[in-house]
Amino acid sequence: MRILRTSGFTLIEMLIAIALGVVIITTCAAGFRVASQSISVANRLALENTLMRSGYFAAVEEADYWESFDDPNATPAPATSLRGSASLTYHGVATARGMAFTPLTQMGFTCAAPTNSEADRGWDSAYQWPASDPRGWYHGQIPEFMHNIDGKFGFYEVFTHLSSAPNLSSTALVQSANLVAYGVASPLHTWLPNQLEGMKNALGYYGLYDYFPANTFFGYYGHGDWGDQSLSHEWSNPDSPNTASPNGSLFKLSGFSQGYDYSTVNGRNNNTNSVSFPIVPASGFTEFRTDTLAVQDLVSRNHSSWVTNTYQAAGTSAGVSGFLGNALVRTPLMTSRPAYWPELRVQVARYANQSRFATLCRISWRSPLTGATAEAAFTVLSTTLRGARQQRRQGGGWATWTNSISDPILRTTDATLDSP
Amino acid sequence: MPCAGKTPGTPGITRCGFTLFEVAISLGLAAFGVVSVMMLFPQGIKAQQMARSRFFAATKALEMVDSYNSFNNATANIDNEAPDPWDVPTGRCSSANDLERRLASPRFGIAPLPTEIAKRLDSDGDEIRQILGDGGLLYYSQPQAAAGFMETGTPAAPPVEAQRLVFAVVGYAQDNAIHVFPWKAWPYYTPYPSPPMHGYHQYEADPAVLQSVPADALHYSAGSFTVDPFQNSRDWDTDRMLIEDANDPDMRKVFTCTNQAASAGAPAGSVEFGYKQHFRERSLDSALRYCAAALWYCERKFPGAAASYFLTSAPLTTFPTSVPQDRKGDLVNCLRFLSHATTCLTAFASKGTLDAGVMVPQLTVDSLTSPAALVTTSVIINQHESCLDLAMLFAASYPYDWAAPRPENRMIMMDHPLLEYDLFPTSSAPMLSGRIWPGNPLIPANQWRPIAAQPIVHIGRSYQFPSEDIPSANPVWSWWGSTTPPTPPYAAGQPSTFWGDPSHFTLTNTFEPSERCRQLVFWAVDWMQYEDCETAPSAPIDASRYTRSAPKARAAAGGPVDTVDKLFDAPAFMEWAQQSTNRNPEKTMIFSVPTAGKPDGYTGADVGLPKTFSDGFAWTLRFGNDGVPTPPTWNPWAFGHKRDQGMTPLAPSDPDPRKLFLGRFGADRNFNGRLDRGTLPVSVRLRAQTVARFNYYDLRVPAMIR
Repeated sequence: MRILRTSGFTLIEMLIAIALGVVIITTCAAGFRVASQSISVANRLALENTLMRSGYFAAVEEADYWESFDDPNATPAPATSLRGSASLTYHGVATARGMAFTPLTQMGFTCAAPTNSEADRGWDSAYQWPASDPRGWYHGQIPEFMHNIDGKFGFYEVFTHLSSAPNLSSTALVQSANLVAYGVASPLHTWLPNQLEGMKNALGYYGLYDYFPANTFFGYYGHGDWGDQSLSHEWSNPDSPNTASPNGSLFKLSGFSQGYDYSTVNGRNNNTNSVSFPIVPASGFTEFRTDTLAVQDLVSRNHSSWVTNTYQAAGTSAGVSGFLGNALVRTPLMTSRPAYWPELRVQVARYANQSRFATLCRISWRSPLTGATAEAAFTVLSTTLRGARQQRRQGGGWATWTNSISDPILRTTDATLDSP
Repeated sequence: MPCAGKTPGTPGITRCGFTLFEVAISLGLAAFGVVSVMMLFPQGIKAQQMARSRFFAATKALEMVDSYNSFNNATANIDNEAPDPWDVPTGRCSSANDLERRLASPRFGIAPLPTEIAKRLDSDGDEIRQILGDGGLLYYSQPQAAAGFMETGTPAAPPVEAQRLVFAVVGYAQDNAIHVFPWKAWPYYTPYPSPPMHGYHQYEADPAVLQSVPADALHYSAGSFTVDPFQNSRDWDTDRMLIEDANDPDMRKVFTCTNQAASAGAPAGSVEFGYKQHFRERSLDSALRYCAAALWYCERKFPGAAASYFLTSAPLTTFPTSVPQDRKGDLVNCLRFLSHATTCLTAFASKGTLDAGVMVPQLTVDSLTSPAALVTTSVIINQHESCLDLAMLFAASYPYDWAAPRPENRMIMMDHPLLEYDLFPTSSAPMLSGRIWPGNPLIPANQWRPIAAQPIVHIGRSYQFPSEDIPSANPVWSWWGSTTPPTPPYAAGQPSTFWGDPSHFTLTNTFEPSERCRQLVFWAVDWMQYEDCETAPSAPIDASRYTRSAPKARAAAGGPVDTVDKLFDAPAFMEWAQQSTNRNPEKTMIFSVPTAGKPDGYTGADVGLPKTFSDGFAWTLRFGNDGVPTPPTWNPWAFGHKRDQGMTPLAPSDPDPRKLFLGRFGADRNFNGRLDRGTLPVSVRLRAQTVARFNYYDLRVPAMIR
């Protein structure tokens, strides 16, 4: 008799199969979940890294090209930003003043036909400031106090002065009863004072420091409390008026604030030891919306300093707070990004401090992983202001610089912001 | 799965299918594949994390190179001269121009990782251990950028990922140029024109302790001599001294002297001439007497040459050929004094008077009579021009001739001669040796011999120790200020044996780029997870960062400085800038008392944690506008510039300043204003993963670039 056996799984086979199936499905599910999470995390990390890199490249690009401070391709032409100028009055004298990207021609401060003599006026961008040129030496009395003129060591105005014919006949300033009126002098050295005064007015304080050699004494005779017969007030007076915060200290070019014993001519190190001289941009991305300022106010802030190096002022709006509110440009990147993309900002401030030209960069982004704000802050070597100005054409756009094997020096035929 | 010869549905025929074994094998293979694929996912994450670390490493490296090359490298305003180099910090390595030494400060944004933590870190090839074993340090980044702002306002800040990096410099430090020549901190700068150099000498010039100052040294107290703009000090300093006559006694006559013969209608010995009397009197007569003293000096140096060199009809633009090489410095000094003196006349005589000329009285001193001279406007102008022309020419042409100070009017790199230490002493020229002053307790010291690119001529004496030859051959100074001279005193050195072997001078040698490159290595490791990440003591600090005074006779109070300890209690005035090269690099973060027993997250100011600004402003280098819940803070220990110096606490309630200096109680290393403890016990070792390497050019000569 044939025994017919029905085909099918035994119970034990079924149980084993089901168990195996469960294991497989569970493993697969777990695997897919881990894979999904890993891919998600990796993607978000990759996105965040991309943001960081983008911010980094944007920051370095900004360090090189200064576009947050002056966009040469802006429409309309950037005449209303840091290329503007206005008249400021200090000690009763109204003077036309520019800012960091004001063309020198606009300020009338160019030297089209230099003769390399004391009679030259205006900036000669090709001049190399050789150390052997007596025009570049300080011919005044270095330790002379602005507030304590008594003439005991004579009047160095006879050697150097802003004016070519200063009248040294005042005796109102003197403390000594024996002094006599000297008369009208004919100083040989008038080039350096006029270079200093012209550049200070043309580009503001940061530009002044940027353009002059590191060994410069910032000051001269003329425009003083006693007219021709003392050091210039704006340059040498540490107690210049402090305007209301957060605008910094207007006309305070001498960085110290410790009394008359510092009211001498100073070098860059002394002037920038306690305070910072930033470039205040006309930007909608500053905390104080400096793009809304009237040109005169913007010019004023580019002729101001902020206290950044004393602990007392660190937290005041006349100090670091005001400094950052005016000078830190917080440019958002990818403003038209999808709504679910995280935020990315690049922040840059440029300032002279402790004899150094700092380019402070900060990249901040919203982490796609945690939602928290993360950041990286650093300083970086960057193009000088002078370099940035020579990158730009006067009428807008970038200047073209070329070189060749036969002429390896970069040259341009475009009129830059420094060109006559 | 064999089923040959079988037909489905027929009796005795078994069904075909996978055996359990086959299924198990298959499952195993499938699982292997799945697991393998899954293992790739973390690798992707890891790669992204590595990229992230590289980003932070790159930004930090950029900043370090920026700071290294663009920050002011001026020497801190501490004592920097002594008869022996080991008696001032600048004679040691605190001012070395190596990247890690320059930047290890709160101002420049890096600090050494506590050695206790660094020793727990493993790395590929044991590189970290090797660095530590060679005496190097690991560093970590402070969260803020090196903005250059005052570190006393160092803010609290939330930690940033850059702090998960540690880094070190590999490659040997180079034999750098000597930043400050401790025997004489050349270059000396002075305005041109100017009188002989004089200035602040508080302790050395104190009449009560002038044991080693020459008996006839010109010392004067402030009195009516206040606000002298040419003194090299501020007006609150009280004791001053003529310095430059230590190099040339004739200069004292320019500063002050009396006539030996009747002059200007005054009998012999009755009238003072020179700079000092003019400073007090301020009249045409006093200015003329100053001119007479300057002319006397000119006649002394160049007899009969007044018309050729000093009363010329046109400025001198080059040195006259009749002036020998070793006298050019004398001519520069003559013009410096004479031009300063004759310019004084412009305040006391009108242009009309000076156009006609005024006669300078003759002065007789040391049996030498100054020439009669008619000083006119053109003479004054020509002397001024000659003075600056020749001073600039001399400074630029002869950096190794120290006969005349360098003109402050135009400072250039040629003012700084190239000097380095000879690292290869010989038996005939061993290392310089001696004892740390004042010899109580007796502490031996050594230093390499210096070498100059060219022989230094007219080295003279130093500003701070004008009684000492260079090197000190005067045994007197070594017991100066103490009651009992130590025995034996310093070995008497001779100039011929002072210098190292000139053939060992390498600063001007040609070199391959690889010889000047060092490497920054970054590792990623979450060292802040250690439970002692903030309580571990600071890494060891070079002793030269602990501020101390140069040898001095006595402190302002408290009696003579007769022990080494007392030198530490009486350092020179500390400027803020000094804090970048001196003291603990973690200074602004250190805890001031032991933190044992304080809970995690403790925020009390009693341990030295930051406290709130009175104006309530949240000052932070994180710029404050991102909703960062950062309390407005400043660190009182960063501010108190006396608390971490000296051997004696300022107040009985203050902690031991040495412990503060050393950071024995740890530091708020993530700047978040509270005490943090991680979760990892100290027994756990962490593996640091190499992130990036950056080669950089290591300067041998201090310089700043733009």
